[in-house]
Amino acid sequence: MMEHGAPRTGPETRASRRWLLAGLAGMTAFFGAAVAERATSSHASTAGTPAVVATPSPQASPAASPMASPAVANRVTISNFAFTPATIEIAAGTEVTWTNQDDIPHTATSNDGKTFTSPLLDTGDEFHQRFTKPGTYPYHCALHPFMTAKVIAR
Amino acid sequence: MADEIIHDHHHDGIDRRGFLKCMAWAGTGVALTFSGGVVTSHILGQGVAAAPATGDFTFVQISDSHIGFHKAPNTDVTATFQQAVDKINRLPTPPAFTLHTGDLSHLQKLDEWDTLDQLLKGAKGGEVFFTPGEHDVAVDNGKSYLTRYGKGTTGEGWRSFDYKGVHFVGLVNVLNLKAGGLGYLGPEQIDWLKQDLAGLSSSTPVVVYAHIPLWAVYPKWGWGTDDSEQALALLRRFGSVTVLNGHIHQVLHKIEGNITFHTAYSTAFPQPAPGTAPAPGPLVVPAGKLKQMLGIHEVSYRVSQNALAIVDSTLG
Ligand SMILES: [Cu+2]
Repeated sequence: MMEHGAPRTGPETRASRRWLLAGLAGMTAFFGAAVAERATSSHASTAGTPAVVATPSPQASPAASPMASPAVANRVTISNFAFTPATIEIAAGTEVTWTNQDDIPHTATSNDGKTFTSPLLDTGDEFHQRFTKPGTYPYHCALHPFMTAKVIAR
Repeated sequence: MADEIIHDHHHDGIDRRGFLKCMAWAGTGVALTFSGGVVTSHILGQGVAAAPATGDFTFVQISDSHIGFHKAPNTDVTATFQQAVDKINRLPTPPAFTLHTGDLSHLQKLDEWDTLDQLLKGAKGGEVFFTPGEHDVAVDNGKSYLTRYGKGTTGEGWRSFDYKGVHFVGLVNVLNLKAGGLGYLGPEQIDWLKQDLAGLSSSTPVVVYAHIPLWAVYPKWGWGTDDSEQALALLRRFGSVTVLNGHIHQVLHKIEGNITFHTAYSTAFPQPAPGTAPAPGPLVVPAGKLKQMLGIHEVSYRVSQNALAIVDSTLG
């Protein structure tokens, strides 16, 4: 079992949905109550009022933001049932953003089951998690546990 | 495609060619009949039907309805589910009951389950017995699913029942999944299965159903169950075991001794044959082809032959 524990301040979690398609607009977001029980701190997960934040889409505006570049070291792409990069190294205090580009939902769920858990991420959904404390954080997809990866915060 | 394959799994001349053909991806309907040790496979339409006798019955397996999915190749999964319901309602022998082998919903939303329940109200398929898929439980490890669909089950959704001499066991292999692993039954469920089977004579036909295949279809894509061998070991003494799974959205068959494995069509979208795509996402097919890759599984039991006949029947 991992001994790094949760960052003392608690992981800061927020999830956002990119409203790229009108067809997505009618969908309600996420599973507030269930997630709120598991994430120690999450303003995405207040039941009934998920924090839905419009963020720039790397696909829609590749040159608009430095965040759009795949070279930026705080972004993990979920594509073809894999996390890329499989190991992401960040400075402690950095917020990591996961984006699901598959047509099947995935999650980013810490292997200890409590440090962080994203909601079910549908196509285009993002999940943000700040790692305030140095450590190695292995995680997987709760639906497809053969999908494994890790965050290393230095 | 009009080939007929005889499998003899009582050691006197197993048809290896037939075995391999049978394992191949079946794009059209295939019917399997097994009686004693001999399995016969027909392409649909070549007549496996016989006059029903007392004790004969039919049940239906549906799977992977993924209500809430709305992308290519199927932007209307409620419509294709409705077509599956229509198909059930047109069966010549009304089903005694229906098995749904999981992924009822796509995103584990209550309104997706509401839609499914509403559509199922129109089905004349008898009582529906559900077992969950990972899309029904991942958010809360099955809590809300079990509250809604777990009535009459034990443990974490396990169920067994007898119907006209056939023993049915519904297993759950999508809970408590481990990082790096596949489907998982867990020691408590395997203990329960052991006790459940203990009192049965080896001549009792057994039907086991669960979401993720209980055989290693393609572990690289998660298409297998880590501890399924422990369950299969308990089933090997029975003369006729039929394992019905979903999850992979295509029809595959495998025969291993007296155990016959079948996977069912989805009613929502097909998935690629093992290893034929970079990942097991939805297989995008032309609109005109979609209904040939979705369907239901009709299983008939004939008491005179102690045999189950399985018909995979597509929507179009
Ligand atoms: Cu996944």
